[in-house]
Amino acid sequence: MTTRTSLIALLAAAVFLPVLTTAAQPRPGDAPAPAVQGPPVDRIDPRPLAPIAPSSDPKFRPKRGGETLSDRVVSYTMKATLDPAKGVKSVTGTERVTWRNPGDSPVSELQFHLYLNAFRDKNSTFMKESGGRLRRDDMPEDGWGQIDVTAMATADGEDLLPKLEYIQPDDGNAEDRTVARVPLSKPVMPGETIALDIAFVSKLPRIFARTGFAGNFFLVGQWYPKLGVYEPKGMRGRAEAGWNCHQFHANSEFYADFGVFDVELTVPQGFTVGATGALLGGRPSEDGGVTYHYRQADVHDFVWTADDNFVTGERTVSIEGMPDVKVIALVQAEHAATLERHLDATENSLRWFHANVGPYPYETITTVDPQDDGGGAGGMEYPTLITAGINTTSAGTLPADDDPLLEVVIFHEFGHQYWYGMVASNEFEEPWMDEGINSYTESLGMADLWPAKRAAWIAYGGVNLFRLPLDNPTLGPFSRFASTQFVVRRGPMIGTSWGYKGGQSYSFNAYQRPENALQTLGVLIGEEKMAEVVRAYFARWKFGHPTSQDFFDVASEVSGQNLQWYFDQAFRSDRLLDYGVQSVRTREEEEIAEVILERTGDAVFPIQALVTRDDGSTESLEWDGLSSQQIFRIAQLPEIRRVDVYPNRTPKLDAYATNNTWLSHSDRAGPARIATDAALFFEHLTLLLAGVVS
Amino acid sequence: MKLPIAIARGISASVAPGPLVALGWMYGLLAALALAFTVFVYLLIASGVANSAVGSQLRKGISADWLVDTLTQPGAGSKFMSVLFLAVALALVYAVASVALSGGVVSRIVDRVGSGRAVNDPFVAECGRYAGPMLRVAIVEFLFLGLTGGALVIVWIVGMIGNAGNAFAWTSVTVIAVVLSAIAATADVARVHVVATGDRSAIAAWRDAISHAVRRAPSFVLLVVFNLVVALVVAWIAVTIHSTISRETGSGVILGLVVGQIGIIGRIWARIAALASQASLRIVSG
Ligand SMILES: [Zn+2]
Repeated sequence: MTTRTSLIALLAAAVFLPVLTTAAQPRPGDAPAPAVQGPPVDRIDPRPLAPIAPSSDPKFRPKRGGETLSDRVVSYTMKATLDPAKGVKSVTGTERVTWRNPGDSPVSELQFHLYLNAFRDKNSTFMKESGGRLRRDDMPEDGWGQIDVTAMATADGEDLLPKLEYIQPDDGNAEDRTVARVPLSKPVMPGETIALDIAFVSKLPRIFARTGFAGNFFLVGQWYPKLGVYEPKGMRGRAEAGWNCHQFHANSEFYADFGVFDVELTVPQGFTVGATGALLGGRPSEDGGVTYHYRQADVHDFVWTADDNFVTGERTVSIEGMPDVKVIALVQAEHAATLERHLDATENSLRWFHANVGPYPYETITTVDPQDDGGGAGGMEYPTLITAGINTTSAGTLPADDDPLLEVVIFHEFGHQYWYGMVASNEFEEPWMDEGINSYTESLGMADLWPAKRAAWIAYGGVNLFRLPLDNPTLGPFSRFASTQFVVRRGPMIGTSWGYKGGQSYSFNAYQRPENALQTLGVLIGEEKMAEVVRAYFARWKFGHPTSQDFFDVASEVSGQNLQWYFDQAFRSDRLLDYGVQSVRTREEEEIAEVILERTGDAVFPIQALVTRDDGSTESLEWDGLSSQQIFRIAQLPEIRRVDVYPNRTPKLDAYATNNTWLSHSDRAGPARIATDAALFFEHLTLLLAGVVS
Repeated sequence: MKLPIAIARGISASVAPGPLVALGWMYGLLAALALAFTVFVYLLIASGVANSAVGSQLRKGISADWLVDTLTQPGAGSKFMSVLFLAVALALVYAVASVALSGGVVSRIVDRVGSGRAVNDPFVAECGRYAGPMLRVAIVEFLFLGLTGGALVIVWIVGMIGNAGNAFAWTSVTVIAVVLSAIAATADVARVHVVATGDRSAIAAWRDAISHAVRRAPSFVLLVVFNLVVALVVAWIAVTIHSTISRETGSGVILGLVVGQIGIIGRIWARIAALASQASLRIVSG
């Protein structure tokens, strides 16, 4: 999803965080660095690193060249009927779910996600964590939702419903009913498959976060009893086999097994439907509605949407080396003017990922524009179906042509088809692997595809009113905020999605900070190698459920160097990266200049600074970055005009930009422009405020 | 015909020598405060980016590099607060001073729109003579504005949070602007009453102003709306023209400064013209 903090929120956080927390923050670089030999990280600071799961046992690397793309552990055959009536807003369904024991020991219980129970009342873990406030929407009093399992039996008729029991593996909150276990009277032997028949009623919540209804718009996500993931010993580095089935948290998303989904959806006449997978056909239903039949293999979830207000656009995208893809856009009638823009953005995203990451193996991709009141359902990813949302971009206002937010959301959610959809890391336990890698590819893709869209608009009452007076207002450069002490000093980047402390900590650590760390990795190993790392990681781990360490291993392998020292400090520590030019001074009598570089943070990075002289000649200064300061004595003449700590690309993990360069002359016009602009703004505002009392 | 006459008289009065002196005082005061603000902000920024290429980035406007650094470096909070504190303090100084100057401004205008009252005292003396009653009129105005404005803003915020729709968004903002402008215009008529009659009672002045506003409601409200539109158009022109000037060089910054200040003078003029038109409507209406 996009919890992409809007520019305004980011700026507001940036303004108020320092005000509130300046005194409490340790200054970077307080600890002096002893200059001894050894692995650099431990030498600077021996604080322990955040624990992470080890690499996956190689036997759990996905096999290639088989008959199916994924190891199909599960299958769901479902029938569901939507009742959109006011006060009802529910889906009644049945499912036959099969599960194959992928391990080498018998399994005597099953675990299910019952996500919709997160919206049951104020006492669910989700509601407690979010305080009824998440993704911009408040929970309205009549908006609660829940899922009731009304029947559950094995294929040979044993009634399991009485044995269904809610469990709370994460926080012990007895009121939380988002995970249930079912003990089996006969264990499932290794390799054996069990089939269950389940009936359920899902009362949809008013859209609050990710799922539900708004008026006659329905985004039906996490709506059916869904199996957790049974992880055999060695899978994702697990020490012991067991179920991985987490409760629904405010900030966590998903993790599930791959399989086949075959679903018949019945809706009243007049509703347009979109769903995961390919539409196999439609027919009138017995109750006067319409039944649509969808099927998709090698995915780990199934979502659908229905609305009587959609306009539909479709195009077929043919790219050499992969099957044709049908791109579908379902857009609110009031937003019909953006239909082509939705299709263009989706097609361009598809082409970019195909060219830069790997082939898209599915036949469809559907982009959905939620109703304005359903903004909480915007910016979400599900297999082969994503939601964008005018409302998530600019409050009911059609986005301006030079405003990239619609494209950002679509590109971002499309990117999830790769990281969440196919690679399918565990978003509960290692959220950076989905949102962070996705934010990184997003920053590359946006720069490639839409470099001219750079505006940020403040919209009011359906009008784009005011273009923010920033020269380069794409959100990208602001992501560096996640590299400063306000984020980094709060703790390591890697953690469970519900374990981060403080309002924006999850989003900074899941999105921007890993994006910055991956960009910095690119500076370290070179852009081409980095692109290769991304492709190799996808190729090895698609349909594979990797761990963080698996990603690190691919990076070390592809780059041909052991990068563990970098991952340890960037991903597993609270070390701040910052290098700068401390000063440049001349010693006239010796005819030399001293260029003093300093490490003001406690993370280590190799430095190759560049000195530029008045005659245009340059000189490179190499430094391992270990000591807290390095003095370079070089010729005084021709006079030094400029020193760049990062002459080529600046690592986004570097906390402060101002000290990255040194100029022999200070620029006066720049500060004068800002000061006079600020004063003019002050005058206009003062006249507005004082004008009515003078 | 009273409304067009009032507007015409108001505009012609606003560009007459006496009111222009008043405009000079108002602008001079604001410019002096803005200059102090400029110097303070300039020194703060310049010391922060000295010898850094980030300083040159600022030629193109606020850059992400500069903003993130400025907001996150140790000590950023106190720097930010010092700028905010200075801005608020200077704005308060201007608000108080403009009340103090209002006696001089109104008397110059009343002279022009023809009350028959002819005073040739220096501007500052006129300000001093009416300082007491003008302060009292302003306090009443402040109370009215605060109570009415506060109530309307609460309705607006509640509606916006409740997604009341685009029609509500625009209607509410329009109502807030017109109602607050009407209160300010009524206060202007009260100030005219003080100067024209020599009656130093704020209560009497407000009573006269309110009864005028009610008696001449159609003309009075139309004039309020007209003056509001003029003020918005002048402000929009000022901001738009200023934004087209490239300020990437020293001379560009100076040109931007000059054009920006012309816009500010335009806005103060619009304020004085509004006052003058309300004064002439009051005087024409008898
Ligand atoms: Zn996302």
